[in-house]
Amino acid sequence: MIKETLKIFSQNVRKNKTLMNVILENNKNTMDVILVQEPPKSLICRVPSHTNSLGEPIYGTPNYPDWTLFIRQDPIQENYARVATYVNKKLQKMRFTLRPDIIDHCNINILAFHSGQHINFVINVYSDNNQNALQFLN
Amino acid sequence: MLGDFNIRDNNWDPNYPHYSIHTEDLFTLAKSLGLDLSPPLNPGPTRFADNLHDTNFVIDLVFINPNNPGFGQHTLHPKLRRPSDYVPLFIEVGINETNLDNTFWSIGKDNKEEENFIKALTNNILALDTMIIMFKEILEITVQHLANIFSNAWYSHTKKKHITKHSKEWWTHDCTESLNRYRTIGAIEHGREFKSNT
Repeated sequence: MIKETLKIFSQNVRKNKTLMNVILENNKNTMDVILVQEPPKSLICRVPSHTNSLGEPIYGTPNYPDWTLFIRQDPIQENYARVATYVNKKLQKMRFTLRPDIIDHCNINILAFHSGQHINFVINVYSDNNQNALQFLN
Repeated sequence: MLGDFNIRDNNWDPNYPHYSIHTEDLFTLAKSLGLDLSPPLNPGPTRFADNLHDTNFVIDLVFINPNNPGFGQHTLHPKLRRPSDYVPLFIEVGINETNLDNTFWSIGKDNKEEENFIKALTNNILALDTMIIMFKEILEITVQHLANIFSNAWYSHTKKKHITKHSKEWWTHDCTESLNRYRTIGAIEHGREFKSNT
């Protein structure tokens, strides 16, 4: 299959997990990349802790069988990523990779991918009311 | 570059009468990346107000290289926003041609198929009459015939396979032989041989 275009879906889901799942299911056969701003996060498990008798909570954003999730990881809850990017697993050959070495910020995702001999970039941005992402980029 | 920039400005929202102090920074950044603000094919709000007093906003922006065929071609889909007050954006950008074919033709090493492939190839090449090549046209026909011999032999003795993370075969012809020996004779050394092969 020869690919000449990349189909991208973008929406701010305002941390709505159900909407996130609907978007991933409905677009699995039509879209190549899904850019999400304000992705949902939910409790995955609790890990043993010296300071918390209930265990430290670990949060995560939904995974989906047809999509590869690219999201910045940060152990500090306040810095949990506000952008997430899903790439259709059919595009594995294009070698999508998250590039925190270029920009490492919870409101910005930079993804690199190969097309032919070229490297292309997709930048997913959520700039809050304080314009943190824009200030960081500048 | 795209996303929710949370900037209201008359440059992209004609219903909003003011300009933002952040717009210049945003355009400077986009320009440094070789990008420009891409207008949608169906302009409209990208975020609907959650009360009756506010107006709808245009705060989700798309920046694309102006030479890309996808520039100015993206669309807004307010009917698909569901419970969200944000409108989904569909963008289709041009990329360099990329082959996503994940299949390949394969023949097992040292097995009967490989033997038959070589046999078919040699028999057909031997049957090729090269004594009749007197003119350029006949040479071209003979060369094409030779190419067909290789192509036909390859595709009739190989299997189409899909590349997966389990594609690399670990079970070899030696494994089959040592297993058969162990099953027939049942000696301990044959069992060890089978284990070492696998």
